[in-house]
Amino acid sequence: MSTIETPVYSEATSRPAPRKVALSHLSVEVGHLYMEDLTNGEDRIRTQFRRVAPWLQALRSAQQAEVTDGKARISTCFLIDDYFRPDTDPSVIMPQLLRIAADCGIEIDYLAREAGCHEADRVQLAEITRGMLLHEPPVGATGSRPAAQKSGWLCNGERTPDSSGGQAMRGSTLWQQPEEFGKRNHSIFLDVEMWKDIPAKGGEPAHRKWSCPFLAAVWQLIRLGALRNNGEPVAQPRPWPTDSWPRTWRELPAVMQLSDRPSPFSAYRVASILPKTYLKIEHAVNVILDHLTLDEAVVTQTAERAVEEGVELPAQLTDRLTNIFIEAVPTVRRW
Amino acid sequence: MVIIGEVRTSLLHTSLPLPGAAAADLLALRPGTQVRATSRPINRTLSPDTVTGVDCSLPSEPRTRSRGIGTVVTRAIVVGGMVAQASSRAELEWTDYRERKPWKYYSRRPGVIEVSGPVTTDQVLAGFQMPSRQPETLDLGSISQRMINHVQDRPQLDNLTALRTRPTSMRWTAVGVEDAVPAVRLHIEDATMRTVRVTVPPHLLEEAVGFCEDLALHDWLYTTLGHVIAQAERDMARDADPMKGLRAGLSLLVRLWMPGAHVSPELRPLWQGLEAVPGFSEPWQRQVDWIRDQVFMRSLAAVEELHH
Repeated sequence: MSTIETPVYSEATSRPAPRKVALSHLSVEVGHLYMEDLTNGEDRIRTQFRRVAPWLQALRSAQQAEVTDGKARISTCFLIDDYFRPDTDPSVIMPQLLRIAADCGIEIDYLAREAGCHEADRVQLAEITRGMLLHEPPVGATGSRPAAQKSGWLCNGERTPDSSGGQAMRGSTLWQQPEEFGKRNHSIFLDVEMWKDIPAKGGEPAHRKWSCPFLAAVWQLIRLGALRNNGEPVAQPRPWPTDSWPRTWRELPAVMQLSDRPSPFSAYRVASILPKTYLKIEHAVNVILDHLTLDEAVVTQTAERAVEEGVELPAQLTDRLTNIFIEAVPTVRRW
Repeated sequence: MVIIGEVRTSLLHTSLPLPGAAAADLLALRPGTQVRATSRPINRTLSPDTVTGVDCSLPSEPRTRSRGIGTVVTRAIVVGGMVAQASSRAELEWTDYRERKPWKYYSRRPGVIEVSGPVTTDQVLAGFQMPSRQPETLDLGSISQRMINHVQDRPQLDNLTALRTRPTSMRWTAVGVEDAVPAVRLHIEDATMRTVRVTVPPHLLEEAVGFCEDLALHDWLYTTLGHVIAQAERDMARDADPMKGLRAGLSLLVRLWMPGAHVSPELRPLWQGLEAVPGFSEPWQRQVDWIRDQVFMRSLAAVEELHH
């Protein structure tokens, strides 16, 4: 009898194995600017990159200290806000942005478009991510009833009971507190709007408008190499020449490789150096990421690769995510 | 190590068996995640898993305090393009920590429920095998039922059925015991409810899920063919034509009978046990023969009538 068991019969569709993506040790997002900031002169861009540069250096050193043999694979990236403001011109914005970044000693390896987090290469990344949502059950949830969900919203606990209608009619005006699940002593309750369904109006068809935190959650999933479409990698970087920009963002790939032979775009760990104004968005991103069921095959594959490379990897996705908040450049509109 | 589960089985609301590609389309319930399918010896299509969070007491006998926090995993299955199943399951893991942890801890462990409190494994197993579910305790049946409703309501189905059938429920427990010889006990609770206990070595615990789904399928086929015969007998007793139901039973159900075909080879001995007591394939074959005889004799009689 043979000691090696080989199956006598197998079928191609019975066991899909996800395809791997190349992984760096660390991916660093080197700042973020609203479109208004990008179109309002050089100073604001320059101030932010100047403040980002030393932290990027610090992250490089910190990552290198974790890698015992050889050079740490680190790549940098920058996300453009074209989902909410597609009306600007890349051929104006990009040369200026890259020049100032270079002046400040920051090389941007990869450029990504926020609209690409909605859809990249005709793959609906935001819809795929929506399908991964796992709402948190209230205490006493047996599975008998479907979870009471407000479409498009996600919270990290139990909302204040609805006091409108019958209750209020009887004069009950007592406030009941919301509660964070798994809290430490006190609650920090967060209710995030993930999308809004816009009904058809004036010739424009009904559509779903994704929120900034939801697209940012998709962004982190792509950076962590955790998203697949039917086992295939999504939003893979495509080389793009830095001296040739079209007039609209739509003409650009979702993720572009701008530098020569950079480390891979996706990484075991990701860090974002952002102005402090993004604190609440990143909190929301963390809540969304903590409420997703990931593709188990991808999770296992990544964990195995980390072990092979001697990389220690936390089991939970959000534990692989670092935020550094820097002082924000004051907004034009001050009130 | 313990897994508990509940399978609901029903006739798919379709007039003709769905081809493999249509079944895959029907069960594409999660964007970006592949449907799994095998085409031999008979088509069996599995939806991607859906996950449901729970935080509640577990059924127990005698009733004992417990708290289970975690997730239930559910999948829909279509066999032979004709039978729909929804299968929910959760592995139970005992823990000393009674408070709820941050959700990311549970969302990273789909299909695991952490159990705290004085309740023992045996009490939960006994509670789960009770004929009626204890109120306010874990309800895998409702989760499965919602999944089957969701599939049956999909626009891919024409909502016509050639046979009147009843859905069945199978509530099962699988216990992993070192060096255990695989064993199964099937109990028919009433017309639609069955309970099953499986004991296997720990490394085969995951495979027990597929076995219980296969057992639920064949129990449903057996039960349904029994209904077809009972209906035919009632028709014949009141001189009505039983042929429509008999023909539908023959053409839709008989080809689906393949106990163990999609079960891990190591667990096929469980089927051998059930074939011995209470017997599955032999009485099934006798039912099929009876139906064929009826159809044959009635066809013959019809031909003879034509000649006169």
